[in-house]
Amino acid sequence: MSTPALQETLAAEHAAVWVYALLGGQASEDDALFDDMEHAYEVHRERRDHLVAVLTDLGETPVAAEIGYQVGATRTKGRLLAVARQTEERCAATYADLVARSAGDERTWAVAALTDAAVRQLRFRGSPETFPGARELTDR
Amino acid sequence: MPDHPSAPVPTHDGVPGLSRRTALAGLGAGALFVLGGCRLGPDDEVDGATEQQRDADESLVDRARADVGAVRLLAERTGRRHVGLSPAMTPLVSLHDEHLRVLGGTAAVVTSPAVARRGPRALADVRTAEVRLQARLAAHAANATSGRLARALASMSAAVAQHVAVFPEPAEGPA
Repeated sequence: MSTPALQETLAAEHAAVWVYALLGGQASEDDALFDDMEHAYEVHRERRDHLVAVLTDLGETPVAAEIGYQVGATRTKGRLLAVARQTEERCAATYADLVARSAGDERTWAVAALTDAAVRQLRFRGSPETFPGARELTDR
Repeated sequence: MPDHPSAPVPTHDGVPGLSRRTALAGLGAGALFVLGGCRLGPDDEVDGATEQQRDADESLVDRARADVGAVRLLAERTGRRHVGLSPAMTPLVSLHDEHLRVLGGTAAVVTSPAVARRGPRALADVRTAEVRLQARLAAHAANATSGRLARALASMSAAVAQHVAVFPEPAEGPA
């Protein structure tokens, strides 16, 4: 079990939770978009809590969230979708790294999280990829 | 092009077959990883892997290649038999070609896939095969000793899930 990998994944989840809280507020006038943001928020919050519990059980101090995160402008629906898509892409890359640096239940968890993030990107105008979370494997 | 569903298919066109000793040589730019060749990247957790563990990973890659190759062949044949489904099959074939390339090339597909006569049924069969492939790749990722191999297989599984998510729904009515 790689504690640094778990901490890096937790840091990514902190960021995702913060971002989706922001995006949800910005999307409140579009019911479908709000629902997608709300669901993503719930998913990442559950993952954050899971990682906090795992790290605590390991006797580690879970990394804390930053005070804030830079996301750029979110005034248009296109920008909201782009930020959400980027958030999932970054989380997917983090989960892929956790897959490589973990074993057992935590690896299984990371594989499922990677798949979920890859599919969720599609709801935010993403396109299917060849190697989600591991783009360096493409076209080599 | 005529279909020969009963004929064994040792390889498919377009992707060069490589020995499994060189499989995964393409994992990461400049990576030292050569599966079974005792050279592993510095951040790979199997630096201390036993010969038995390396053999297990080699067998796992062989199974993954066979799994991907079989579904690729089904998608390819479905697109040939049902021309109207070809636009849906082409991205899948390309995806599986890319995955086979990273896995080291083709594997012999000993059981030739049968393509249903009716288009909707053929489409449903491909979807079912892709869903199963996604689960199998995820299981292979969970079982790999090498972290890099696990990461690559997990990414392939996620890619298949993405393609299934945008796959066309079979038309209503009897298949």
